[in-house]
Amino acid sequence: MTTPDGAVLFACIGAGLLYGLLGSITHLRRQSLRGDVLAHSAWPGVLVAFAITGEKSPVVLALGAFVFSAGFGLVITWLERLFPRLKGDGAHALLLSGSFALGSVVWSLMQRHMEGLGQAGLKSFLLGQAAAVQWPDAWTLLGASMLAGLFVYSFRRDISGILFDRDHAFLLGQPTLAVEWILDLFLALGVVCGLQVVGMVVLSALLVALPLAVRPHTKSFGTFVLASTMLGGAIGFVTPWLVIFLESSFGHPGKGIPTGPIFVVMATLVAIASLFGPRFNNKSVATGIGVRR
Amino acid sequence: MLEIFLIGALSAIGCGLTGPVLLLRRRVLLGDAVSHSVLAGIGIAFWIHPVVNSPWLRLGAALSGCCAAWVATKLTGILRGRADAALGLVFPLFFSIGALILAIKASNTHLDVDQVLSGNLESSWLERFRLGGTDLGPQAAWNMLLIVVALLAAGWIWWRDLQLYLFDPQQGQILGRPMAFLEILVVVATTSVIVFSFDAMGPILLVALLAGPGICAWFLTSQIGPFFLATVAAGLLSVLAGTGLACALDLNIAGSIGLAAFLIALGTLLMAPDHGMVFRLLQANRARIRFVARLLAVHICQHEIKGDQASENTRVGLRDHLKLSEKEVAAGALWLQARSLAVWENQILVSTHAGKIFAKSLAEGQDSTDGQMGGEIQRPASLM
Repeated sequence: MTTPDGAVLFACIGAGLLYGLLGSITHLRRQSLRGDVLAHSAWPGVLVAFAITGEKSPVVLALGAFVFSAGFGLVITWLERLFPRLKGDGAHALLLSGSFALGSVVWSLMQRHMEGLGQAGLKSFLLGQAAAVQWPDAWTLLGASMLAGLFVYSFRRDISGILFDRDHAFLLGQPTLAVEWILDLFLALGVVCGLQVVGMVVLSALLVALPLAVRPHTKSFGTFVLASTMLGGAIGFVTPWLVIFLESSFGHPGKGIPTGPIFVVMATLVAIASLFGPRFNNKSVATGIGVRR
Repeated sequence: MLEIFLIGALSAIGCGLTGPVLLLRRRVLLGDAVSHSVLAGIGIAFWIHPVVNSPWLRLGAALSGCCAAWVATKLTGILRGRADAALGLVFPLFFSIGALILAIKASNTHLDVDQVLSGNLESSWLERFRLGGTDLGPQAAWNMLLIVVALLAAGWIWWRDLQLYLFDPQQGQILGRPMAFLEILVVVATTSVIVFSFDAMGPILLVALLAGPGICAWFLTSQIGPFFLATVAAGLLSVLAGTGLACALDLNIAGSIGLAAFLIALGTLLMAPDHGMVFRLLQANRARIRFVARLLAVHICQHEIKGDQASENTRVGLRDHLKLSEKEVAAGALWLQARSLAVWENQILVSTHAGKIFAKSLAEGQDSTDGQMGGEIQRPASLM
């Protein structure tokens, strides 16, 4: 059996760690679909960055994507604070459709005004190209997960404050809105780092599935975040090996099995197994999933 | 052009009839999720019957969309109301299964996944509905018309039960109404709107028409009947504005309709009476002036009793003593003057007889509206 490519292996581990960490926090903020929304809202950013600079270099496009998805993320947080009726996913759906519509309009404008516009570099930015993963991608993902981990560790008190009782945290003088906005910025950063490597669907699946897999088994915030991160890393480690095994047993020559969907299916199966399977922590059996006693 | 507008308008009506249901059940992103999940059905149908453009693909898409929506609904129950997590778990799984099958079985056929994402309203009228050789208009319009009629009929039959389902399903269950059936009905209705309209509009325009007009209507009315009507009206307005914009500037029609819906919703968030931002800022300002005026009324009376009103009850004295701004003092005094509770005499604020009674009742805490004031003056803080 051959070994997987090192860059692919480390990119998968990095993605697992990053989205396990960020996902555990978005899960507790009851905004599991925010990753998906931010990934969609990167699209007009990519187009605008390309229209302004005329370059297709990943750094320029990523910068545009980050500006837009961070901006939309902050607007969502602000709208939800301002209008309680938009809680749930009203604000998410509104900004998802708004940003993507903006993207299509900008795209049709660009097609008319710019010469020789190939779709190539721009669309793959959104859908990911796991086959062409390079070492820089892997380092970006690992670095982003380190950075996010450092932030979450050093602000763990403020973060658990806004997650579990925001009004109480506000009264204690904790910077609730600032921490929420920094969390949004980190989610946007994580989304933009992973967008080119793993793609939108894999990213939103990991953000949801990893914390769901861990949630039934623990009631402690620290354990939950750590376990979700580690689980992500573990699934990221297993996936490339599994892909190679599947390719050697079922694959046809010239038709590779894509890594992304296998990653998603693995994470989702683990989540489903853990939702319906036995619980490690006997105390949480009676309370079920995601509710306080 | 007229036909494109017709297709858009019918889709807006279909979405307007289902959008409020999804919005009230906090499940608007179901539109996005279902339109991604469709790929699993397309993949399986293609595996069994590998021909591009066969009706089997459409059927597989519809079935897997329904299946995904139903699984997500069930999972929401298991996850105790976490609709976001349920949707987020289900749709990538379905999408990935579809992508896997297509990657293994159809990697050299041209079945464009990107096309699914953007939608093409411009060419939606090309597929015609023919009956005995006569051309009766675009197929997509007839599909949507059928769905709209079915939705209206279902809404007319189960109107009371639908309200129960939306606002208090437990109560409905106790009353013995068919809540489980309504849940399936809602899932099937929303999925059929989504599946039938998305090859014309694309999932993003679909989410725009499900979310934007619904949010508009929710900020304009609190009654269920007007809610549906306002949603349909806002949807039609978005389609009209969007097609107009697209014609004028030669843009992507689906994109500009989505943008119009988004902008109309944002405008409503700003300007709506009662819930809009402008209204709430005005209300907060009014509450602050009222608070300042009451403060002034009590304060000037106290100094009049002490006898040092000549030095204290001037503009400067009040400003410095109560730590207010000059503007606030002026506005508060104006409030009192308008109700003839106080008047300016030689640059000194003097309370009238009515003003003294008012101040006394405030100081003794007998004013019945006093208790509400705390709630009102908190508004500015939550607006920040």
